[in-house]
Amino acid sequence: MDEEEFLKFDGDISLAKATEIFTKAMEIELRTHSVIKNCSAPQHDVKEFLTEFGKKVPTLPFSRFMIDTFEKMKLGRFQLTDWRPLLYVFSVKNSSVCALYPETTSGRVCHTTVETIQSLFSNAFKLPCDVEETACVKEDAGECRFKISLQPLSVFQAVFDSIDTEILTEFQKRPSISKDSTTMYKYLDAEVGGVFDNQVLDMSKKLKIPADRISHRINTLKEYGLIGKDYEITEMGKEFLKYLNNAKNLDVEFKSGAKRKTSELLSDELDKAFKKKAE
Amino acid sequence: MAEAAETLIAKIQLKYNIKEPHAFSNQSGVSTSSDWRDGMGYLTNISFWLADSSKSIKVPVGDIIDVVDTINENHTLVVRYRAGTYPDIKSMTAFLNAPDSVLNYFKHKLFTTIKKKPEVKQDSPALEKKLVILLYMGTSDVQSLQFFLGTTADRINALTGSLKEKGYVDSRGRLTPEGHKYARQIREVEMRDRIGAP
Repeated sequence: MDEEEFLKFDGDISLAKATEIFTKAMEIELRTHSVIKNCSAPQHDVKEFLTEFGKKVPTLPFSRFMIDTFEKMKLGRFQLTDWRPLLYVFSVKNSSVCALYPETTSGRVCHTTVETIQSLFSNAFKLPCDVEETACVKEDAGECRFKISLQPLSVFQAVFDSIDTEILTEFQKRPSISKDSTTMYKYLDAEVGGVFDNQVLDMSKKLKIPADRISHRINTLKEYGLIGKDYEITEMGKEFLKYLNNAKNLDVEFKSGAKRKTSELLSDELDKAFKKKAE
Repeated sequence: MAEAAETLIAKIQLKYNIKEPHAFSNQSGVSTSSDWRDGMGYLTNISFWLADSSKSIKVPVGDIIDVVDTINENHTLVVRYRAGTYPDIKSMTAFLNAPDSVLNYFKHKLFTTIKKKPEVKQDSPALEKKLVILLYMGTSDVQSLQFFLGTTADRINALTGSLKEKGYVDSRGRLTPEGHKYARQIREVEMRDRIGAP
């Protein structure tokens, strides 16, 4: 086909209109890129968000921080509408990306929003994820919806620490920790209060952590499927424990290596200083 | 029924590189041309064209299998399409390179034209590093790897294949000495990031 034949541009859209859309899309991309580049969330808030599964999730500081960040990007009005371990859903009203495609009346168009959410989570929050648009205003939905599936390993690395390793180890050592104990179920399933299970108290004493914090951690491990519904370590829990133990050993090796390097550097510096003094 | 008129959707200046079959080979392997050609990319409602001063390739829009945006060393758009001309070759791949804004514009036009679902999967290079770390820490069965990486068995197999090509994993899916060395490098970077060491 000869180039001259391309008189019409994008169906009924004129070249001028296409250029205008292109310019607006570029503005959106530059703005979102700049916001992501300058965005960082306190790790404590991220951890709190990832270990909370109840009704208060949308009111947590990190949830508010995410909504504020989307506000700055001017992509539309975001709302966290559904949350489960490793899975979050945002709805967006008044999407500026949808507004870029006035001619489209069927089919989802929010590629820019999907890419922005993925980049924000992966780069700014260090939470790699898959993002999918599950509903779009352009497909007659009342709002656009985006499903975010977080990578479990990165979440576990952000959430769990040496205390959780100890708890998982205890569960592995004593798989029947709560089989005969209905009291512990009651305590763990209620957020605060209840009767303490002796074994939770044992863990609390051993790890020097308040029992309610131990319970919170056990619930988090349970929500992520590392401890089963019957409070026994799962196969994935065992795999993750293996990972944590190997990582711990390697971290010790690394730290001692780093110390050695530091002392070598120090002795080099001292050598240089002595030589300088002698000169 | 009258055929729809071909109308231009987007036209950009780009560099392109096509994975093409050996023209006179009986083997079904493909070779990657290292030559990037300076040319034009056209997208119409009916076809996707790549053209330079000496050559042009025309792919019906319906033959485009997928468009993937990759950012490794360069920002590259990967267009995979059915190659009907060569019966032994199921698909061919065009790599497109242009300034970010131009490529993004073209990508969105391609996405809309082929009605690609708005979806972004985890970045392959980052996922590959996590896979190496998991193998290094002793996790090796596909089910566990799927669980920890939050991805499909197919993707794990593809990543393992890529690690094999690089010599980091052997034919049984275990880390080679090179793979161990690579894993230690990744861990060291992770540790330095965590403790804020230089």
